[in-house]
Amino acid sequence: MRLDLDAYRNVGDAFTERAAQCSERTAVTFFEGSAAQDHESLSFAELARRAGVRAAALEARLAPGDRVLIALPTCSGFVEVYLACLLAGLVAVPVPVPGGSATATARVAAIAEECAPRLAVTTGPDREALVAFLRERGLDDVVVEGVGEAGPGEPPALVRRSPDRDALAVLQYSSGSTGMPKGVMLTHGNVLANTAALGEGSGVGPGDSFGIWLPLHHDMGLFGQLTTALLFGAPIVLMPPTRFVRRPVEWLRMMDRFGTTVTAAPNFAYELCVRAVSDEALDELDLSRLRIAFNGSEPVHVPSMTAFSKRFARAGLKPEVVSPAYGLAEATVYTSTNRIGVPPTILVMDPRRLEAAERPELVVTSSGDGREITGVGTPARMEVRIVDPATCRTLPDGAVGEIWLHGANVGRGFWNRPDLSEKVFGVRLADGGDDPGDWLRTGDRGAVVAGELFITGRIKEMLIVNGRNLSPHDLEQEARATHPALTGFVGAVFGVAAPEERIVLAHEVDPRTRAEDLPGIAAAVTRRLTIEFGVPMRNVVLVRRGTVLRTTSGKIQRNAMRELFLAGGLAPLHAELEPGVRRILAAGAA
Amino acid sequence: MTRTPRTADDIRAWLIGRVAHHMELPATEIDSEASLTENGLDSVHAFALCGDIEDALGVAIEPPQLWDVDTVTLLTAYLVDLAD
Repeated sequence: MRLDLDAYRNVGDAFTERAAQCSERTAVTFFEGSAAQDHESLSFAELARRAGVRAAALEARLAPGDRVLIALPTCSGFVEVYLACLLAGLVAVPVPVPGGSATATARVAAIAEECAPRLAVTTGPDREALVAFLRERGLDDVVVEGVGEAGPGEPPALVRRSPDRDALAVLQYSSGSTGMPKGVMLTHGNVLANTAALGEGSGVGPGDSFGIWLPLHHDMGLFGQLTTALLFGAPIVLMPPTRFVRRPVEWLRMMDRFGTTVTAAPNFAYELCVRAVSDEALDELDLSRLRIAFNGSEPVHVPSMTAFSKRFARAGLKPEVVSPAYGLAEATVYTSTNRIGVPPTILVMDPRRLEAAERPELVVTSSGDGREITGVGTPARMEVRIVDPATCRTLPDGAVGEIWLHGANVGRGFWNRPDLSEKVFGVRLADGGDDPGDWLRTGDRGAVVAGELFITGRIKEMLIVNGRNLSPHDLEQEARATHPALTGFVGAVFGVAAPEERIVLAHEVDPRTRAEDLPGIAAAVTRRLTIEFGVPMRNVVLVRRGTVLRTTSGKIQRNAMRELFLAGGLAPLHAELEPGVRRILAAGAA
Repeated sequence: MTRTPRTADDIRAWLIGRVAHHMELPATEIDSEASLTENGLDSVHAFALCGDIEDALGVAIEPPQLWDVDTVTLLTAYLVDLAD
């Protein structure tokens, strides 16, 4: 079987050829839960037929390069419409399912406003909510349709010339605040290169069997798993994320039932399984066929990874299966992973050298307070530099700096934002000689030791909790609206390592507020932010007016606020802190 | 899974046990009069708790209902009503 993904003009051609080679093989299965006898599945031939029928219908009514919003849950319609867009030269824009929560609907509407789609495809029940939101924003000309069925018959041939490698394939919205979404422009070439690099770097291939609960609008689910499986001609089993969080054991049962060899999930999922799966359920599981379980899209916490491997060893899970990975939406998804069968390198680092203001570096320590940090393997088909973000000069092995990347899977920039794109996707190394200036600044901090990449934290202020990227700006805005004593005053949201990431809000209060009202205000903020954003928000520090640091232009200095908080310099009027955060404060003061 | 709780007291004790389990805290640390969010529950825990409730009590419940009732004490009363 030819699997040279560099040889294809576009994703549609690669998929079409693979589907012809694997026609009777099962492509996609939708797991209906362990109690169900039957699970809907599509062969490669049937999936290609349906995608072809939909592509012809879309081609007839839309122009090349038109954006199509895919606002669908995990279902066959999602996979069919996604492939149809790629076949017909349309730009797929996968987004969260609207109507799930007010923030999700607001985000979808903001994305629609940003990328001006001609068509939005959703489910019947969500259609009305989405139409109302789009109307509210004056986006009356977006056609909103229920996904429906592909229809019978063989697909008519497409009329237009198929897209080339440089044509846009997907706008991937995974960063930016709710109000100001940023869409990464991914070409057909980027998507093909991503699967090629992931295959080469990890050893995953056509003989594998994939299985995930990840949302399909998320880079790890869409490109790390679904697209990769389709381009390899390998089967994939899908279940919706809400089924997983409700009963984590169902993910494991699904992999057992379908003999899954490759999966992926953020760190929190592995942690959740350790807690939520009973001994009785564990005894009935067989995870011995799993070859690699990527742990990525949020910081990898070594103890939770180790606890998972240990607990599920009884179910036949091999110790080297859980594999820390690093990637980001700006690079389609893949950057680095370990190879199948290679256990992660875990080093115990001196935390003081790691976080030193001057020349931070990875130094192995044997003293008791070391911080465990895992390697994420050696990047394949990807150039990586560790760079001093202030001077833009390359740093030596072991030094901690910003991670810069260069490779065929790095996207073309952010949609409609040339200035920002140049700052993120078009940077130049100061010591790079005739460097063409097309490095990607990741905003992540890390180091390279003996060729292996280690991630140590972030430079950008984005928070990553439960696998989701959150903008501090969004949390601050919501906090301000929670109570009249906060409205009109300033707050700063930042993460602290305790040792896993915890979110802290420091907020100024109206000077007229009575002291006895402060605990109630803190509780109201905790409640509202937890419910609206779904993340624990238990550290609320109420401070005097003027305490929150800002630049002369009014920009909130979140990193400086973190330093001040950790140094005990905030002089709070009232503070609610969880035990782990209290401990690091006490340690800092000692 | 634990045995199916029956009375209001059983349900309450069982709920405290589940919240403590998800938060990895001793049951004595759970304040049943405080908001679930103040006890540290986030949306992932809330879904898992809904799954627990469905499995043990046979009551279908979604996270927004948990947030609406807000405390272990009020959730107990809510579940007793539903189970009747």
